[in-house]
Amino acid sequence: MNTWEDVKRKKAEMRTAAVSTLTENEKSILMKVLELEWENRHLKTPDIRRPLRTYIAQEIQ
Amino acid sequence: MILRKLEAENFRQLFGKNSIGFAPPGKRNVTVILGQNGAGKTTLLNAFLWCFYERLDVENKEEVLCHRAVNVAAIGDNIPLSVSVVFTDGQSSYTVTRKGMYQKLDGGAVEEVRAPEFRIDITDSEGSTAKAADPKQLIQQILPDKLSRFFFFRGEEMETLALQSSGKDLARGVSEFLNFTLLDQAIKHLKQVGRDFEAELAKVATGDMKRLEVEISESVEESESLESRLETEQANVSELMKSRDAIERQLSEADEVRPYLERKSELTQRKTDLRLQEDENRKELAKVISRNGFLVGSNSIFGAFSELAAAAVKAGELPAKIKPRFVDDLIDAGLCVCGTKLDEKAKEQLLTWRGKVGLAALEESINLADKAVSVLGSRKRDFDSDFFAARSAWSKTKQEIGQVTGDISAVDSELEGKDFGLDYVQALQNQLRSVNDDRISRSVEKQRTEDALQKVQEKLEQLRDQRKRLAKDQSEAQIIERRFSATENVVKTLSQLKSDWLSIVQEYLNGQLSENWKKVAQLERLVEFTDSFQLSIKERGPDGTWVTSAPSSANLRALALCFVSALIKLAAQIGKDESNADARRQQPFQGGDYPIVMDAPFATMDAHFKKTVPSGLREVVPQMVLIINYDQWEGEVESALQPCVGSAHVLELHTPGGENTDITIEFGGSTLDYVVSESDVETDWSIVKEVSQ
Repeated sequence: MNTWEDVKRKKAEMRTAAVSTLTENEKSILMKVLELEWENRHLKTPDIRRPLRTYIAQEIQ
Repeated sequence: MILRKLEAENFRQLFGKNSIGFAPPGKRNVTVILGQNGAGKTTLLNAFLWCFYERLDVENKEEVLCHRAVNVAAIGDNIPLSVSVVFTDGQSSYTVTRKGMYQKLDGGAVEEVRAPEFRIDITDSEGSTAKAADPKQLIQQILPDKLSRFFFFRGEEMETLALQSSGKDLARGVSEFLNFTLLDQAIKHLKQVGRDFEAELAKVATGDMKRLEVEISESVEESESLESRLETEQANVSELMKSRDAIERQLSEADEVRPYLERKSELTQRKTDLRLQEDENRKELAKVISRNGFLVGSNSIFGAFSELAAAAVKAGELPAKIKPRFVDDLIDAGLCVCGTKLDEKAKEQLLTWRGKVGLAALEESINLADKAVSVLGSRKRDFDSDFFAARSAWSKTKQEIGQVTGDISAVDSELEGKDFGLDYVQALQNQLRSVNDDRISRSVEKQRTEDALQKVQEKLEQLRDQRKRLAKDQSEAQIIERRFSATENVVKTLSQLKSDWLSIVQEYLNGQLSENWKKVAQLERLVEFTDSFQLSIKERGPDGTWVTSAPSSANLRALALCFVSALIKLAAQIGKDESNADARRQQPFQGGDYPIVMDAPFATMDAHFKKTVPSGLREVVPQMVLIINYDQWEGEVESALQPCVGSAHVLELHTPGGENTDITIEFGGSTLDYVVSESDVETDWSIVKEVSQ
């Protein structure tokens, strides 16, 4: 049976594997979107579309 | 969330001020509240829901204020209504209060004087208290409304959790535990940004790309509309399946019909197993193909190679007569084969031999290749045999699925159409037929939408690939295309993370469920929380293997209770996972210790389960609140739980009635009023009384 420690280890491995398929630009976009969602989590209808688009445009030129 | 106290004033059936203190975690962590049917047991469960979320899980939702309180009030009197729950979570205590005020008007009607106010006061470990700035958000962090049904529930609701039609509900419930809100929002916003980039591309595109953008835009619109339709259709089918299960459960109460439902349950379980088997067969076939599939068509290549080698032998080119090393040595030494120094003629001879060395090298290569061909030939023979074995296993399973599906249809036809000679069964059969007709037509619609969506998405993928190729010739479009692709890749990764995390936790819950079953049910059964998020139960067959059986209502309840206790363990682990308490407070769902609050959970259980489940369950959860009628309490449940009761109350029911209709009960050595008949009351009302331990 899996212990909670196993669960945490598997989660960390899963994260590493999933993120390893991304380019550096894509990794940075992923971090940014989560950061923006976190900052706006209290809003009922958060709209991070514009800052996210600007960020991606800066990252990929 | 460890419950400390509930106070309710004039809430539905509960007249005046009522208070319940809950037993804390520990050896005596059970709170028992005894109540006759109609005394307000469900009202108590609803008191939590109304206080936390301002909702009621009853039919007459508008009736919140106690009738008795209105009846005894004088015209113009104010009638308070309130429910307050005190609980601890981590180091702090929370007092959650929802209260309003009504006034009795001339003619007996009531008017809301003050709308219900909702507040949470937080008291820290040092005793200072502060009002929560956003109580609605705070309660959703501590116990999201969608998760409340796993901690506060009625026995009959519990049973439905264990039914196969609840698979999607359970998957959604587990997702709520895992705080997917943030990831879901991120995916939603990234998709919006992706659409923005596509719109930009449409603006800058020229020539063929312009035409492509129009097609892409149309396909995106079509795909979104199909996705939304599919979501509605899935919800419709899921609701109809629940209705079908509910009708079948009612039908199973008739002795004449039960064998058919048991047979159907067996067949349905068998079909689920076969589906899993089919999945395994498909994986096995894929494995065989991925390992040696490249050898398909190799027979002709091997044949051609053998023919080539045979032709060389026939022409006298093979085997080569001179070995390369020998010739090289002679040239290096400048000597003839007889030991004399090489003259011009001998050198010429050696060079002729050297020409033949090429054929010797060819011979070596052919020998090596021949060995490789022989190994590959053997692998090919293995592949042929593995491939045919895997393919025929898959076909066999598919055939069995077809057979079982046919058998289920035959049982369904009998369930709908057979004359059992009972009117109420006939009425239920009519309902079942109508629900099934509806379900079948909706399922067909759902399948068609799924097919259409898949087609559109495949087309969209092709169009986007074409666009990627065309964008290479237009620098501005190329940059926007790269931004779009990056956005799409991040969306795919986030979706992958979600589904992987969900399946890791499903595996964990499956293990916990099995552990809890051993401790709680103490009955030899194989219980599983499958990777399709369904609960399943199997028993030993005559040959010792696990076989599916038609689970009884008692088995389903025990299974669901074990699953809920596994969820409570998951919540506790999530709560402990964040060492930084501040960070934990920011999460959508914080996790932590949770109670289990149940209304009539053991009603349909047999003597074995009544002995094992209550005491086993209270050991695997931190706090247990049992709202139960005396008939269900008395006997096995009482013997199992009495030593663990830390707090006891009775819901004393006052009801209009004549003489000699009072009921008393014996509890903990005291005689308690249970039902009190009163000639001067118009409606039932109840009051909570504490029982001294």
